[in-house]
Amino acid sequence: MNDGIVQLNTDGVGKKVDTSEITVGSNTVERQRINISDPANPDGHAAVELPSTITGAEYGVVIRGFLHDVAQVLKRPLDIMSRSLSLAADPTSGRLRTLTDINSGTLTTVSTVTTCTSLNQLAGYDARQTMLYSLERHNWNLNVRSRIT
Amino acid sequence: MTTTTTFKDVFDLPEWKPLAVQTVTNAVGMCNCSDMRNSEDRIPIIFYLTSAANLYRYNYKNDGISLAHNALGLAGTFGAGACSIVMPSRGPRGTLTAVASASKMTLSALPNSASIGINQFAQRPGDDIGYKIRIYDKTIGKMDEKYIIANTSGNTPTITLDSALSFTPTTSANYELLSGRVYMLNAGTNAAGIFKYFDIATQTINTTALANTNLPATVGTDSCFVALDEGYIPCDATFSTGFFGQCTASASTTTSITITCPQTMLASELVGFQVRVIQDTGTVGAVGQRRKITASTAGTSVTLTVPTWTTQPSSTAVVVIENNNDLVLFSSGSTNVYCYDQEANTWATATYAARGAAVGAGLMAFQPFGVSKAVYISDPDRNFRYTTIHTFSGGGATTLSILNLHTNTWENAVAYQTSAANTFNTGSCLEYDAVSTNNAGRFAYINQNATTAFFRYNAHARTIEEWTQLRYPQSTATVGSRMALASYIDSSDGSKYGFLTLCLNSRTDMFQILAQR
Repeated sequence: MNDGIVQLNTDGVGKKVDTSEITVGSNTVERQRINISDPANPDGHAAVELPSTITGAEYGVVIRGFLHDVAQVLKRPLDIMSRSLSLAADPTSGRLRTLTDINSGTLTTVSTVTTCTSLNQLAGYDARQTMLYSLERHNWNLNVRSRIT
Repeated sequence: MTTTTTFKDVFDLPEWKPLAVQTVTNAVGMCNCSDMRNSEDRIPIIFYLTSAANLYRYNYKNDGISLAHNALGLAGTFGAGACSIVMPSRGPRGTLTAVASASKMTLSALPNSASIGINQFAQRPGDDIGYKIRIYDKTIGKMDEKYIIANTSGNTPTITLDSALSFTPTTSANYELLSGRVYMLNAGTNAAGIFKYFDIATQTINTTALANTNLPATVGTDSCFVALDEGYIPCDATFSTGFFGQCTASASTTTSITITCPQTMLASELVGFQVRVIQDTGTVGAVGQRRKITASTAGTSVTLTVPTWTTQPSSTAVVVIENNNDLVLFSSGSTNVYCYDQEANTWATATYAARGAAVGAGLMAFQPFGVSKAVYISDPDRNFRYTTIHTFSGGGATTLSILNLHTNTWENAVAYQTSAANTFNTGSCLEYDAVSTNNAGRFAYINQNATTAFFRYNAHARTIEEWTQLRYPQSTATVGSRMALASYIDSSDGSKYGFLTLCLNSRTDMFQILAQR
């Protein structure tokens, strides 16, 4: 794409309009280059640049609808998290109730276990055999075997 | 040393006790069976058929498990309908080939080309007791039973007995090892090899095919064996004296024998039993014969009608009245009573009348042979009979039916004391406590539908009552007999206690409970 100009009326040495010269169909035409600027602020021009960092001081085009949508998308998971956390909160103490799945590691101190649905091993051995069934055998010896001489 | 129990009702409740853990998880078709003889002659093993290939054994004196055999080669497809049973009086049989003395002799070839090790017959699995052997001599007319305390190795071992026989046998004498067989029926399409036995003493599988003709075309749904074994007697009876003691003959014909009974008998009371000649010094060749009784007269001098004798007994013969050694099978949603004749190696469906309604899953059956003689004799009208098979039909019903062997008729849908909620379906199984003298052999114990609920059925009174629940729920209910009987025998005072053993459904756990009351 070649650079081109549109010649204005000469006033002294004359002024020129910055254009891009392109081919449209069979014609070579001049496409005028423009700045997007604030309607009131004389310094409010949108920058087109390649900065190394965004400082926040740059002027830019305001795209309200797009930014609103982005804000809503970001807000949605936050709302969900907020609701969940408030439901899990103890209304008196404000403590969060959580379900913890300990896949590995060590529990140092457990004060109370209300329900233990499954306990497969104890000290590396079958908990059913070492705890429940040994207790049953003890009960049998106590309640049945002791009545047999 | 005698055994004394001091259980007090209500104070001392029965308790289930955990046993060793099975090596395989219980699944559909797996089934237990055990020897229910009421003396130390019983093999202290519970056999557990788990597949078409594997038979496990649980040693209840040692609380241990191992494979009894891992190449059964049962034809068919293992699953619902598979079942097993111990016939304890059936073991290796033959003649003596050499006699060194009244306590040392050589056996003819053992079955299945078995080659036993040194002293294998002198130590059964589970204890230091040798197998009992019965020897009868048709040239002397006598019979005796002793324990084996030593043997040489091989297919024709020389055995030593714990004491001398009451006679010195000749080389033509017969022997019968009372060591037992485990009969096994697989499920699936009927084919040669679907029915086999495991010989306990030699630990071999039959090499000569057992009959499969007249078995169900397809074995399925559920099955239950009943062993009418001659070794099964009342809990207060002595081994080899049958149900009514040893009876002396007073007359005979080619198809009958008249005997003196210890009590007054009703007409036909002894039909369904067998008569076995245990001594006949008058006609020596008559000893050892067994005949099924087809008719019997009333009174104390009872004439028994039997199929023609091979050798007609003399008027001085001594006989016993026993179960007739039939192996009865209910199976495959049928009304048929399948009957296996061990001597003839044949199955028949015409031996006993068909029941009134087909059986279903949860089918259970037993013969109440263990009810004490004292209880039996106390009712002169014989409202209770030994010659009966009590069977719950399963299929989600409460139905109890009773086969009367002495009339070959069924009492279908018997009225008995139970609840309409006590229905039996998949997972239900039963074990009869034939040995407990404290319970007079009256009770069979039932696990309902593989739940934690148990009942016990009183065969004498035809009632069901609740039995101790198991604290541990079972898993998925499947078809298969998971209960068996272990027994404690005190030979010093004759006290006997039954332990009901249960494999939990779809689990590896085993529990046991003493029938303490």
